[in-house]
Amino acid sequence: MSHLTPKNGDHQIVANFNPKDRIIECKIVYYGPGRGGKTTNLEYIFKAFNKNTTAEMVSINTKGDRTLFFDFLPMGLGKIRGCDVKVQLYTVPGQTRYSSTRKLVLKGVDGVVFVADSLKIRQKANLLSLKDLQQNLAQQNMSIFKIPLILQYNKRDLGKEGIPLVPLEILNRNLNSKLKVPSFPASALKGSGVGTSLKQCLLLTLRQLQRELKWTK
Amino acid sequence: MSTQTSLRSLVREAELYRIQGLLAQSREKYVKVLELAKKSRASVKRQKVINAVTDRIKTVDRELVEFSKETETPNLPNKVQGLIKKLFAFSKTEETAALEGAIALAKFGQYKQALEEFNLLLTQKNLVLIVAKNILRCHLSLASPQAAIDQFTEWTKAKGPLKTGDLRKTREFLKSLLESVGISSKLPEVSDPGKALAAPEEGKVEEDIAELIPDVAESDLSNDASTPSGQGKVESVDDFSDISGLGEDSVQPEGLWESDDPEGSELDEILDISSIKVHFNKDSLKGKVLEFKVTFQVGNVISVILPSRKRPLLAYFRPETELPTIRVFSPMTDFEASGKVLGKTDVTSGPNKGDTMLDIIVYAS
Repeated sequence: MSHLTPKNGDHQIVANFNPKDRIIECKIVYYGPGRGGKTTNLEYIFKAFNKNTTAEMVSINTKGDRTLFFDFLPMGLGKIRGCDVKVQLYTVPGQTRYSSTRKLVLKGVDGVVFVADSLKIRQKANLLSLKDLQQNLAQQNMSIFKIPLILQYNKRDLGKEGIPLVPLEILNRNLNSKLKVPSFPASALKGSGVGTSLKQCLLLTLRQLQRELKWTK
Repeated sequence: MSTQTSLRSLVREAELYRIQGLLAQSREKYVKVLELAKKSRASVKRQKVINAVTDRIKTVDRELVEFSKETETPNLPNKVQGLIKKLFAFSKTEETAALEGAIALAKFGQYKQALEEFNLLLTQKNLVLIVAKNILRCHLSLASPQAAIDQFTEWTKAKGPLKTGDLRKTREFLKSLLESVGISSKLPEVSDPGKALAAPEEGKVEEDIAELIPDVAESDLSNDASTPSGQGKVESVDDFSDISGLGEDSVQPEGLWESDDPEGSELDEILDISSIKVHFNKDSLKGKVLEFKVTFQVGNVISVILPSRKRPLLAYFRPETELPTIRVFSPMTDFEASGKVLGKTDVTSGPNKGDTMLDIIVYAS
């Protein structure tokens, strides 16, 4: 099993590629502030894309139903260019106290879905979490500007209930003005935008992987 | 917007935040509701609202207290522990992957299982030092410093898996670890097998001192060609993940496993120390200086030779003796430092036969 490593610090993919069995395994991590909807994303994916999941979802929570360590969901995407593509989805605990666990879960990441909370009261938490992601990636010699990353603006459904949300354009300005990555509105609870976010992240991740594979030839 | 509409809106927000687990934000909103309600015209309905919101604030407070108590790490089922070992081992080699798996278990607070895994890995010669350190960390994380001390003591007695050099490093490591949690404990010495060192007679030492050390700092060098001193690295004491050569990054603290500085595990370069001068500043040796040439160095631990004719001075270099004033000389510079005697060994062969080798750990001031 070869382990593709970054060349010249330019590439971020460290997916596992088994040329003999033609299996590609990559790791997608759902990151973001606490209570933002990361676990809800995975729960929806587990229900809605059950055909593609290869095992049960594992969640390690506190009594209060907050993610303590991580959630884990393995999926198979079928064959792409003759290779079996397997994806491992993880969430990190969002609470600030679990910083070291986030670093561990982020290790070996190939793509990130940043689940931002659209609630007005959580904007500072979004920024701190994004900064936390940047720092943790940097500690693994990865750049937030180069890793496959998409932003999901979650909880958009709450606007209809009169709860103050940040408009999408402002969210984009606050979180994405420098990153300039794809961003999607979503409601993980209702499922809207969840599949789109995952697919886009996978697309970016596999494209990067494809570039890596060509170069290693 | 009327007061009633504002109140309804605030209550809806507060309750949503509470359901979402945003307890602090929920409480803040409920407090605003209470303030608004109190300002409105007195009525039976107003009092009902005040009572209901007050109760709701108490509920949120209880939930906040429960949340703050969620610090205990649960013991995970075997299946999940197995998954952790598998998911967080990235190495291609079996034994390093096993080590990474054990470390991951420890990082996720599964210390008992991690201990079992580490103990199995003690047979791997190239990993033994890292494994030993992680075993000791596990014991401390289980709030069992005595178990860590007992484990180390066991290793020093039996023909254990650790060689003398590794035992010394492990001893120093355990000492630092215990000190970091406020425990000061006498750990068993680590000495080479062979004859025990005879302790000098205290009284006689005092008489002979003046003859042994000149007042002027004069070189007291061994004539033996020294072993080139090695360039070493200070080892991290805080991080479960210090796997040599794997370039692990520091883990941010949660208890024992972490340092306050997220980059605290970065290894520092140590100067090549060629000689030291130990200044004595109390008792009968006050004002005297003794110089040693460094015969060996690993990290900030140096070895120096005390000639047999100066044997009475050994009383001043017993293990654990603090050396508060040392002048350190390197090819590049010299500087003030302090140190501590880690151990002493009789030299039983070679040109220095009969002399005593002292191991001293040097701390930059």
